[in-house]
Amino acid sequence: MKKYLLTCLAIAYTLFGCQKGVLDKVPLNVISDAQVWGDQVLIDAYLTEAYARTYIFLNETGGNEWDTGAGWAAPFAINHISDEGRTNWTSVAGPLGYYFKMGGLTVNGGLLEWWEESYQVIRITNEFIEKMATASVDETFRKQRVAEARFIRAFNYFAMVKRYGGVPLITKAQRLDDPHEELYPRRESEKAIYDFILSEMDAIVTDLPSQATGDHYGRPSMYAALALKSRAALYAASISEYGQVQLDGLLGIPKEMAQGYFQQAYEAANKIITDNKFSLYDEDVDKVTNFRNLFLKKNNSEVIFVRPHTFTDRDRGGNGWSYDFFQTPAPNAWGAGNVDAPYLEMAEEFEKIDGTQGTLDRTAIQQGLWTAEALWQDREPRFFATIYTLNTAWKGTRLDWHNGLITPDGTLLADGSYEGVLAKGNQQVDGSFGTGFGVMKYLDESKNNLGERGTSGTDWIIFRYGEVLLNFAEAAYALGNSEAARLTINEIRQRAGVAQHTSIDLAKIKHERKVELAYEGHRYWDLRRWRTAVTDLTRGFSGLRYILDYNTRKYRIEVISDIDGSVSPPRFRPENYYFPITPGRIGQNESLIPNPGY
Amino acid sequence: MKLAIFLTLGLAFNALAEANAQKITLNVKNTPLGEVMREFQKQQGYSFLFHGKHLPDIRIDAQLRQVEFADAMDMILTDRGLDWSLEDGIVTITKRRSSPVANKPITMPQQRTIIGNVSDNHGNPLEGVTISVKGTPVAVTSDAYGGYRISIPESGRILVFSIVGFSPVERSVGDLSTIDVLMEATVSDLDEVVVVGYGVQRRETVTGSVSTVKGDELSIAPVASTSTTLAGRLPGLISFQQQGLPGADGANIQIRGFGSALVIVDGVEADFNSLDPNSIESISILKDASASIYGSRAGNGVILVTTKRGNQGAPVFSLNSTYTLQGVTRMLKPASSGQYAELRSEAWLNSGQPPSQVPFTTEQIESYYRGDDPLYPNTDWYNVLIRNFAPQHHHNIAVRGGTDRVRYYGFLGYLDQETMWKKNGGGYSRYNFQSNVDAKIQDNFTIQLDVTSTMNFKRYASRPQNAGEAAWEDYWNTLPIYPASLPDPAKIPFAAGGGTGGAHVTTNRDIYGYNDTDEQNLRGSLTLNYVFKGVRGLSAKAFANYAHTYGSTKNFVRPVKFYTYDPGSDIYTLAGALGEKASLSTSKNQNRTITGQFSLNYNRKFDDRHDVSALLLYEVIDYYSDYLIGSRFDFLTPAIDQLFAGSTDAMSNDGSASEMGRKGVIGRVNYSYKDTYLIETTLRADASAKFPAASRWGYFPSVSLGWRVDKEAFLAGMRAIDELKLRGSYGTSGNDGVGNFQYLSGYRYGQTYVLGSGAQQGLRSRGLANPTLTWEELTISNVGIDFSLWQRQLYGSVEGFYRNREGIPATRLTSLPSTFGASMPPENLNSQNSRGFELELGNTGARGDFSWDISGNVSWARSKWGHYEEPEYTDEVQLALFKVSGQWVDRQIGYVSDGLFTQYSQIDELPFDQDNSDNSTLRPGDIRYKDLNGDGKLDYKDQADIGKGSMPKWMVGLRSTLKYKNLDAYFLFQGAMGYHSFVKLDGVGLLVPAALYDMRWTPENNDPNALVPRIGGAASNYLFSDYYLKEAGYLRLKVLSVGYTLPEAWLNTAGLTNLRVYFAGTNLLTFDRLKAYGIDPEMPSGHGTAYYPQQRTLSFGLSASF
Repeated sequence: MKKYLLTCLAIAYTLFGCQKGVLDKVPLNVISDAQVWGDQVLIDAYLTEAYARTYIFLNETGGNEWDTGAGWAAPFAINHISDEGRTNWTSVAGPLGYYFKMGGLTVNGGLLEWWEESYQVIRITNEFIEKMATASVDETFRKQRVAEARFIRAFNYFAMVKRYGGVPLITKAQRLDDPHEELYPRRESEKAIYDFILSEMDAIVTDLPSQATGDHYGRPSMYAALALKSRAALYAASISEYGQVQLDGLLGIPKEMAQGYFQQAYEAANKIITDNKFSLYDEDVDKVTNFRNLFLKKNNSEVIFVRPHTFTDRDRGGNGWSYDFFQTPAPNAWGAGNVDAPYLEMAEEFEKIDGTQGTLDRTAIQQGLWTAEALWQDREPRFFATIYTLNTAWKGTRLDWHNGLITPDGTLLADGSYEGVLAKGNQQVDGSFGTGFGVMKYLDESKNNLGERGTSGTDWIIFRYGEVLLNFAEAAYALGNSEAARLTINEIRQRAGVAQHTSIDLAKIKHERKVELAYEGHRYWDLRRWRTAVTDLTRGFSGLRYILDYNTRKYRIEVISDIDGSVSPPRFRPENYYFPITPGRIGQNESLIPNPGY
Repeated sequence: MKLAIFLTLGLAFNALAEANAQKITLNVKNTPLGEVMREFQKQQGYSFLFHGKHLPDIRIDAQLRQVEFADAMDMILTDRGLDWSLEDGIVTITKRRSSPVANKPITMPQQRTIIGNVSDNHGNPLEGVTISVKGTPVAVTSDAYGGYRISIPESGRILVFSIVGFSPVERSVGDLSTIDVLMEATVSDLDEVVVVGYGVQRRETVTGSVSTVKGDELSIAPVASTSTTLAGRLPGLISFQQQGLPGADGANIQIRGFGSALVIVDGVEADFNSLDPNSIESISILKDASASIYGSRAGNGVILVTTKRGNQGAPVFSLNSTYTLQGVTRMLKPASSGQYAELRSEAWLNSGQPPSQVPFTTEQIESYYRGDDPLYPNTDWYNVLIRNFAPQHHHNIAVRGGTDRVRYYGFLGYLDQETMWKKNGGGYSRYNFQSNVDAKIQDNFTIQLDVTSTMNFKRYASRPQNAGEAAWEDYWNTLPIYPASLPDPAKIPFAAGGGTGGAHVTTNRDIYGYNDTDEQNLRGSLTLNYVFKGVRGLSAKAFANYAHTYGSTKNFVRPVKFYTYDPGSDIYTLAGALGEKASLSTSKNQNRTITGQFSLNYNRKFDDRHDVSALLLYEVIDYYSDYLIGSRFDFLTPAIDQLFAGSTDAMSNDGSASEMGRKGVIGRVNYSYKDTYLIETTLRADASAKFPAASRWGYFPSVSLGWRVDKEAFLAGMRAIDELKLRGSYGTSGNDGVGNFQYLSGYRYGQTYVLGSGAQQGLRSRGLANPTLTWEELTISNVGIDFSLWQRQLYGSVEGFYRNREGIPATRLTSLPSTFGASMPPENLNSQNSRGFELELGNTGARGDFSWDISGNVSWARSKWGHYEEPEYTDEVQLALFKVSGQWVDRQIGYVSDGLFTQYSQIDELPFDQDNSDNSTLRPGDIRYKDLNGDGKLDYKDQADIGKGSMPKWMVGLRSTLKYKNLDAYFLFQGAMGYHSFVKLDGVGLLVPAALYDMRWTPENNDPNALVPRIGGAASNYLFSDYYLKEAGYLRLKVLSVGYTLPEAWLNTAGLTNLRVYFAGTNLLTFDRLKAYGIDPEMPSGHGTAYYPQQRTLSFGLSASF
């Protein structure tokens, strides 16, 4: 009997012996505070997170799940809410941009939101700046990284101010025991936010290196700071010039301040120009090739600040993105692509090479038969480098966009084929031929688009020299220096390969901006700051249908009016110049005053 | 691994054979039973309990020499109408029900003798069955092998077989000389033993709210998931099966509508869903203070699963084999190509898109309807993709038996379930192994050795198929206007499919690839039981369990190119591709849990009236898990599906691990006075490693009281009352599933960003730490009545509860706005209170050869938020709509519809702006809403409370076992009411269900109550409203089974003792509110068309024992 009692005890002992420390468990994936702030590598990694989480670096993308989750086509939404084009691949990109474009923005917001995520990044940068004051790191490292953190913080504030107007300005990592009025901050005036961004850029410009190359690739240089300053100052100036002060200055900037901001925009741009570190990319003989390569060749002479990518799929641990996957013409993986469908009006915006207006005679083109060449002949090179359409050369073939076939007896064949010629070309998405256009800009023709998503390695350019010149021109013109404006615009046109302007006006400057910066995420914000969106975005837009004639192999053209529908055409309301603050945010902090009109 | 298990068992048997047991020697004459047992106690060390006042006084004559203990007990007790059982070192002696006490049967003049065997429906012999001749005092009991011999007086016509726990059986004597009888266990007999936390209790002394179902009932109709079998059978259990995907078709079950319950299988936390129901002895659910003994994990109730164990007797093998056909209950079929084309164009025009661009012209639509032109195909993809019946095989064999020293139960089960996809859709298969061995080493020392192994193999196509997942988008994007095959069989036809080509690509493992999961669960436990000889009633128990789960998944994706085809010109056009090269992602995960329990038990009755039992238990649990994944892409060839075959350029791998631990000290005291006044108290001190050292211990007491009113003298004359018990309980418990290690701050790996030479790793703060976060604290009060009247002609129970749940983690909202930049850590802020009741009624009886047991149950439960961390609304409308505190937790807020517009004039006369565009977007066929606040426009303020959430509040179950001679039948109706489903049948893909075509509003079908508004109508049609949120509810014939037991005479030649053939079906009949939509009422809310539908099964089976 004792034997069994002993066995019992022995087993019990073994059992509980191995259970020692059963409550002394820790998470196996956490690095402690002390480890992080004592190690330069980990400190650097901490700031890396601020870069990674500033999702809006990628064309105003509001979330990091854009290539796997609901907001797949988020980097393209900004193109779909402007007058540049519409969503074509709706079954994947979703109708969200479309919905907002039709006036669907309500008090609950939801369009291009950048608030909660923004303040999280701002907290990271604030904490970084504070902790760096005492961290034992190399002095140059400290200065440079702190300046980067301030750049990221200002960039986020800029993204917010252009959305919401004045927002709470938080410049320290708040603690739970901070005073109530700090934890529940009021909105600063719109002017104060712009002034903060501008003064921050002034403060850090000397701490940043002059070039973003080598280890500094992907980080802001002093010129990125100046470029942000020129853009932000130009926005401030326009809002002051064209907008109205509301809510005691939470929205709008007094008119008399416009000149001051134009001056700052002018000076910041001018400093970049005169330092002569950048130039317009102009290396390829063929102007079309040249303008395409501007966006494909990494770190070329025009690039000031980018969101870099690698060619490895994000799913495979890389940092690729899905630009080509979404924008490519057929054939594509998934049988789609062509997510941005440029409007006919946008295509027409491109001038003829001799500088004459590009507007088509809609009556004429709908009569007789056409070739694509005849339709688009003499267009300036940027047209072909920015937009693809019927018969555009692509991967050794020509894009076949025809929708319908006229047989020799004059019948219009919608399906099937006639004598081995198919009634429809292959450029369909979800069974629709869209507007007849797609976006060529940034497309990498050498990329295989039948493969995975997330494998585009092109860098997304956030600031480029061309924009700086346009900022400069617009500011110079507003300051009365129209000759400087004209020369600068001509510099752009020279590189583009379109006739020079002999005179200049604001319309020409705006036009040049629309064409040069098309599909780069500028147009929507430009229309807002000029306060012209109410008219420019409340109207119907058009597209084209190409019908192939069997006999002549030419095309009959149909203009599709009101391509977004006639019942509810695009609609931009005056209150949409500012996004709503939303009841949710106001519920958290009653000090926040809502934006009017929602 | 199987070999290792058998080896282990072999060793255990050897060890037992060597053990030398104490034998009984006794010589008594006219000695009270009490004294005899005291003698046994000296010799054996067991404690004895008498259930019955006069039992110890029964006089005994016996002469025994070196007799096994069990045999001795049998010899002494059987003839005196007494039963005995041994559990945890305590011998319990009870009266055998309805058998004459302490009297040998009266001998009558012999007419003739009938012999026979009595067994249960598994063929196990039944000992102690009272066999009486109806209308006479003649009765005998069956022996240890189920055999009996009875002399029938002349007047005898009918034999009655009865034993506690089984339905009585009556047999006509006729000319027979042999009568063998099969007895069916009754389910809710008040005398049965029920499994409670860390032990068992007799049903009659249970004071908590415990519902039990026997394993035999769960296996009536073969279904794969154990959780699915519980529906309707346990009052207080909310069960809702939301999909039918093989391997993932378990029901969502909640005790009383609480969160997910703690599941304990044979003493340790484990998944019970993949256990074979045939190996389960019983399932108990602890609904009130009875769960408190599980401390910080018990807050949502506890489900206790006990597997079968061996019993004394010759080995009985039982075989159960079924073949099942599974078909969908209801699934919407896609529109035809004509309907599709018509609807697309209708939507296009209705939404004001340019008519010149209409997707399909009238001629095209007509061609599709005609379907005779190869250019305009009409493919019925439902028929191409889905089969009417998918087979399922379920076979198992069990062996059960033992001697007085060793008892064993062995089980081997196999299940194979195919998916509904016609072509290479994969399936689910499972192997179950169970070996439970009890061995008596010494008369006061026993060991138990249990080994369980479950192997799950899930074979799916690469695209995920759970509700709302990608495969369903593919399905509803697979268009009928494309052919299902092309003249060139090597070319896969394009059918849109949202870019995937179509569901014929993505549901076919051979085309797009596969996603396979293998999972192996192994549990082994050793229990030592020692009865102290020095202290009466004291025993000790040590228990150790090692559970290991090993899983691996392999996701192999093949590249696919798809083509469109023009029959006129024979031209193939490459329409797209799904990946360009094959890729493989493979992962392994394992987790292991070690559980140790050491306990002292005390169980003694003093002075024949003070019954005391106590438990002191120490428990420790240690958890560890890790995970490893590796992927390669750009395979040189899809012919090899191994990792090495991928490119090394873009390979990736990842891994992680975690660990956790718990300790608990548990105390329980039960006291009963005269078996009439019952009290139970428990206290658990519980600690979990996820909380900081200073505050990781919590204390969870409970108390419950019971009053057996029927035992009172004042009811002694009331023969109608078999049992009447009042009970009440109050318990506290916790729920520590609230996030791990919140008290630690620090940093984790975040995202990567390209800087300098390449991607750099980011570090992400874990956020603010909260050292005070602790488990949720719950209190639950329960009152109940159990009753049984007129020999169980009416039995049942009624109970009600109120639960308060405090400290639900929530992030402080109002205290910090988002400008703070970090979310506050979760704190124990929110609270909920739940209330509900359960009612169960049953009736058993027999009339001639016909016997029945019928019972029904109804439960209701619903919860309210006590405190809910939320903004402080001041606006009255917002208060009413958004304030959650004090409201039902499942309240749904939405717009209130008012039918559809049927005329333009209604829109012109609409007194408010419904679409924020002066009603310019509205047309007849659009939903008309109510401007509830009458402010002239429709906005968020016009919402109201329109629904009750998607989990049912009311559950009903009605089941019955019927027997007539060799025929048996069983049915179970189960119903759920009081929930809402968001029914929207379009919007998953480009394609809509054919049914929607008929339900939609059109100018011709100008019905203000058409189920579907104008296709492509105004944006306001998409508001969340009661137009789509519909009250659901159903009653369905969940299980029906009919069986026939072959007469034994037929079986003898085959050497069988029992053979039953049966048919069983599930989900055969459904009555529900949403029938008009053509969807299953258990569909997951909002996914009416995007989920793997519930299955109706038709099974043919046989069970045999030998």
